[in-house]
Amino acid sequence: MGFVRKKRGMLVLGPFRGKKADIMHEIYFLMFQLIMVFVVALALFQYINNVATDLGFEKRFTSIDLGLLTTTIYYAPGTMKHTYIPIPFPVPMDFSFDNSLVDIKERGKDLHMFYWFLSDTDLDPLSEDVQIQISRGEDTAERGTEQSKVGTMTTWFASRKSPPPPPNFTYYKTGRQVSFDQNVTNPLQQVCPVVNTTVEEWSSEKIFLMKVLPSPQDYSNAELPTNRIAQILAARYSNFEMSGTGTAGSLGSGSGSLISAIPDDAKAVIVIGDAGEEREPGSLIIYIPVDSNMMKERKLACFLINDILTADTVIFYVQIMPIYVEALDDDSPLRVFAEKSSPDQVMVFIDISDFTDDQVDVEKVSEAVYRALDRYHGAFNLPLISGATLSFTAPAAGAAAGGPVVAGPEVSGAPPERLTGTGDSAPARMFSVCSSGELGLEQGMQKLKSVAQYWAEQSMADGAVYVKGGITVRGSLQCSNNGRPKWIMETLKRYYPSDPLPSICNPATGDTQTAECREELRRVYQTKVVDHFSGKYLCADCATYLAQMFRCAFGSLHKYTTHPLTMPVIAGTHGAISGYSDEGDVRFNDAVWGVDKGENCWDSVIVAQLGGRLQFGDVIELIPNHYVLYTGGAGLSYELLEMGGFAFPSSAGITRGDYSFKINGEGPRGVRTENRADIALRAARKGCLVRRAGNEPSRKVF
Amino acid sequence: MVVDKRQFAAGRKGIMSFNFLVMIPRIIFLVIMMIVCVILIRMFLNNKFDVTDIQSEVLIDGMLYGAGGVGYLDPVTGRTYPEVIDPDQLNSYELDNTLYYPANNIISARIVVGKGTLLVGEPSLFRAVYYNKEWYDNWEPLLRWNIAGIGGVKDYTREFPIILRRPDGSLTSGEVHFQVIQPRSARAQR
Repeated sequence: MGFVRKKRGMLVLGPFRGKKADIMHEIYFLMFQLIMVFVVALALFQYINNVATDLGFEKRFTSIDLGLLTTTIYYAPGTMKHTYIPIPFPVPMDFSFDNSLVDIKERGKDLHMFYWFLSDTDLDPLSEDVQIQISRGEDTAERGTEQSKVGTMTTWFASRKSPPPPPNFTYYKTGRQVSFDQNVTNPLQQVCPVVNTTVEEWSSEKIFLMKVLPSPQDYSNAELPTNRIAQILAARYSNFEMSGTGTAGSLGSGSGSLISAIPDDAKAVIVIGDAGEEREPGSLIIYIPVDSNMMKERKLACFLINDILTADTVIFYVQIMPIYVEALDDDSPLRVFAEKSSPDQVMVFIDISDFTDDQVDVEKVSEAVYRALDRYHGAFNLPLISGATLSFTAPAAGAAAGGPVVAGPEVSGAPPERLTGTGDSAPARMFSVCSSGELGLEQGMQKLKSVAQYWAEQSMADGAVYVKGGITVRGSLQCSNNGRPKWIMETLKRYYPSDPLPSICNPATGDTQTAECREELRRVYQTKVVDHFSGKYLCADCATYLAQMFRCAFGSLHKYTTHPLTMPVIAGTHGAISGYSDEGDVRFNDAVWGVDKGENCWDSVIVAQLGGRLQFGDVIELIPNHYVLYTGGAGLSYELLEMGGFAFPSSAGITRGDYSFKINGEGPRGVRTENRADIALRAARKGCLVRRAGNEPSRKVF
Repeated sequence: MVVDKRQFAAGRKGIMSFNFLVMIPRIIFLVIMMIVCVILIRMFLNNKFDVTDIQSEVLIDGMLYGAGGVGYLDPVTGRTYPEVIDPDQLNSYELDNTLYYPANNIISARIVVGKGTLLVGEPSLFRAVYYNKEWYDNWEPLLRWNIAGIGGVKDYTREFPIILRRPDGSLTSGEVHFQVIQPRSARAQR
């Protein structure tokens, strides 16, 4: 009130005297009102701005979205894969899934947003983290460049042609678990029935172990996996009781089975051994009796399968097989089910006879049996078995499992560029399943089946680099390229647009004729592309991929080849095609099938030609200079295995395989499987299959 | 608005008082306008999500079509038959112990299957089971009060024609009725 002064005992407003004062008075009030309006408007705009920029809405939305999605995925029966693309966040975000809650927050801040999701207690609890990265560039090119340094393979190449794909992560659901890491799942795991089998203290319940072996002498063979598994379980866990060996059983000597009487107080009976059924090698069968307790027995068998089948378990067939005991032959080992002493007992028969002794890791199978019983009896909060190996075959650990899944490109920590000319062409995990020594023809083809299965899974999990023109140097795992300069130059220009091409070449005219230019291009390509991904991906072209696979299966490149490059299957840019031979005498799958362009090759003809003619292991020239492996007839879930792949015309109505390309377009590609060989071939050329080599296969394995 | 001094002989103090009084409705009007603006903005900025119906739908669909729900599970084949229900397999205990939420005060449901009614139809096929019966019993009486705020609960009902499996294995038509109740106050927190 500085403008107020005292005069003659009363307050008089100094400036507000007279007409001028009135005007001033009014002006001040107007100014006051204007200021008020501005303050209010400013506050409103600030409020709107806060709402617009605040992440509360996005976090809330995403948490609910993920909660409902995860619930739905838990409900989904069977095996499934689902990729989730979150709404764009302007800052890095952390998603955490734990205790049936999804927790979303900005990285480095503690403002959490939760939402719940339903968990199926038959499955392992979902407890994983996802980190959403962002790129900091403003425009497409900059973002692409930034991602190229550190991004994953998928985003790296996609970013060159279009804006980088949004960050995403993928749910993998099997019968055992929901995970964001395919490397910790196994699609053969089963969905288990829901029935209450909870016991308060199951460690005090008696579990009876039985062994059923082909001959009485087997019971004293300490090297047999069946005996060792039973011994391990009985020795480690006090409630496991092992049947006495040498006790004459009721099955008679015909089967050679020796069984003790099953105690009445045994809660569960686990039978391990040989059911005497002829199966495909590599099959895991668990038999259960058809009786009043079958639901629980199915649940236990299902848990056993799910615990035995970890991510790196390589088997070909798994089944829970109900058995009508009355229908069995008298000497069938499965008649052991008739020995149940109580209808309330659960009894399962684990048949591991379709695996060789060295394929059964007795320690891990024993642990799996114990864990399955633990889960069966109600232990819900089990830790995830990320990276653990409870498997029949025990390849070396693959890609590191566990830890957060990083969706989207990393924004820091770009790996240093290597300047050397060569690098490991194949990740160790892909060769962990290879034969240690040379195998014969039939053994090798059996092995090829498992290698193809494993490689396909590994390749599709991570995406295999398809270095066009890349070759694997003979006798080593070093990867090089065949030095096709024009293709390399085009590739470099597309993928490294900001990097100058080697000055020794002529980028303007594309002149790459000089030897120095070609060598420099080869070196640059090697360091920037091949070496960059060599530790993780297999460097090969379509043919050398298959060559490496054959080599992995048979253990040698030299024995079974007629090609001067000592590879069993050589094709592609080298122009040479070789079949598969056994020391030049017995030929197996000698034919390389090509596709004829003849006018008379109608679809029906193709199908007719395919029928019975293709064999597992055949190499098919799908299109000129592009080769795939025929994998039908071997029990695999697909009929074509293709490294690299090609683009089907969309109008062809193709039913794609279970897996699609990791990367579409040119350049590095993934491995794809196709489960309709006839359709694929038909779409490829609208032609017919013709043999490129003359010799008929003299032996049929599958 | 300028006050004529000649009409107010009470002096300048009176004029000032009058002017201040005149300002009051102006300020009140200004405040009202501010409030109206805020209300309008809040009306157009929807920052809340009500997904209770979706959540109920997911629960119902999961129970009806997913493994671990109310669908008939053939123990021989291990296959779950969607929309086929074996009343003898329905069990509140199994539902409670299979479907896990981090807290039990989130959602509850009552599932009734039957053919016709208890009086007209096949009484032997009539079953009523619950998911989270403890809280269903707590919340169900609140439905009649229809409390709109966070103190209330909300229900969601669906009916489906299904196939019922008799104990002898024969099949017949029937109905299943789901009633899902959720509190309006449920908030996820750790």
